This record gives sequence, structure tokens and C-alpha cells, in this order.
Amino acid sequence: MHDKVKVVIGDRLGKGQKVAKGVEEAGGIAIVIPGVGADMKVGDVMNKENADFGIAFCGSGGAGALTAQTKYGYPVEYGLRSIEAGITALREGKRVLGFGFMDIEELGRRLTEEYIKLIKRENKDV
Amino acid sequence: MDEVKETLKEVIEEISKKEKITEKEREELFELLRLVKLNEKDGKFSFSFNRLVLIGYHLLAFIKRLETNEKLPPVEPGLWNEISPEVKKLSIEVLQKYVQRFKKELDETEIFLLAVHFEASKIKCVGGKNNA
Repeated sequence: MHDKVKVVIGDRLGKGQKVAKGVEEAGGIAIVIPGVGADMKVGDVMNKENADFGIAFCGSGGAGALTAQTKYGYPVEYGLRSIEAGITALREGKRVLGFGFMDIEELGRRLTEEYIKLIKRENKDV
Repeated sequence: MDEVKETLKEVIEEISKKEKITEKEREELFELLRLVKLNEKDGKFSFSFNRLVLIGYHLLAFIKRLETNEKLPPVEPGLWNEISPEVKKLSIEVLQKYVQRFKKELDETEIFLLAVHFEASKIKCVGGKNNA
């Protein structure tokens, strides 16, 4: 078990550092996957690191999310184009979020903040 | 050939469960996927149904980006080093014909994005035998 929210980020264009900064600003741990095809490795790294959720960037956002779903059964949403759409997906229980290319701090920060809120709410309800 | 046609139609059906596809986009997607699938012939690549679905989602997004003139960010330096020249050439071949029809320029980032799918579809040879 880990206390901090752990977020895996895979960007096919080799980016993701700004999103990672946002995750860390919100108190989370960010793991940015390096190299080619990083988006398609999000599920593998989430599984290995026992991460809370993952963010895949690949243009359509589909490849990373669908690979994670097929290999590990993670609930996914893809084709996301805004922070709000990502937050809604998290609230619906999705754990791998596939976006177009959006390497911005605000995305990482707000998704992590939302996930922390969701966890707190779940703990209260138990 | 009919078998390939049927497979590609099923792939597009699968994609259309989630994405809205116009009749024109459906035809264009079929043609692009056919060009991708043709590269299986020389035994260097293998495109499973699931892989074709992923590539199909990607190509549909590419078609839509071309329609709206959406530009993508550049590829981070160094990533091209992990793409073989052969794969880069194939990616260009698939996309170039399509882009030329619309009298548009083929973007380097688009070449890279599809090339990653080709790299992921390479058949790795272990002990002289194909190990897909």
C-alpha cells in the first residue's frame, strides 16, 4: 500500500513532464514512462507499480487506454479532450484516461485533486 | 482478399460502436487500413484484430485532424532514433497518398505516430522462428 496517489503517464510524443508536475503539486507521485510507445505501456506500468490511475496521450487517446483494458481489465475512457471530461471519467470509476495531446500542469493537478477527493469520500462511506 | 475485407469491415464496426463515423470516413478508413494490412505480406509484421482496432482508432483521428486542419505538437528529440528507417518509410507510404488527395502537407508528427504502431506490430524473430 502507498499513502500518496500514484499516477502513471505515457505520452507517445515523449512529453508528459508538465502533467507530472501538476500531479506532484497536488500531492501525488507521478511516473512518466520514457521512450517510444509510452502510451501503450501505461497499463503495464500501472500494474507493476500498483498505481491509482493512468493517463495516456496518443492523439486519439485510444491505443494506451484500450491496451490497458485488454491486458489488465482496467476501466478506461478515451478520446478525452478536456480536463472536465477527465474528471467526469474518474468520477465514473475509470482508471485509465486517454487524451489527445495535452501536456499541461492543470490537467495533472486537477485529476489528482479529484482522485484524492473521491478516495476521501469512499473512506467516509465505508 | 475477401477475408481481409471482412476483417477490416469488422474492425470498422468495432470502432463505430464508440466513435461516430460518416460514410465517407468509413470508406477512407477502410482504404488506409487496407494499406496497413498489405504490409503483412512479407512476414515482417503481424496485425491482430485488436491491433487493427487500435490502428483504426488512430487513423480515424488522423482523418478527422486532416478535415479540421488540427496541428499536433512536435515529437521530442531522440524518439526518432527508436524508429527504424524501414518503418518510417512504410508510415509515409500509407499516409502520403491520402494526404496528397487533399493537396495537403504530410506532418512529421503524423508519420511518427503511425510509425509507432508499425514498430509495435513487428514480428520478433527468436531462434530463427517467428515469435509474434
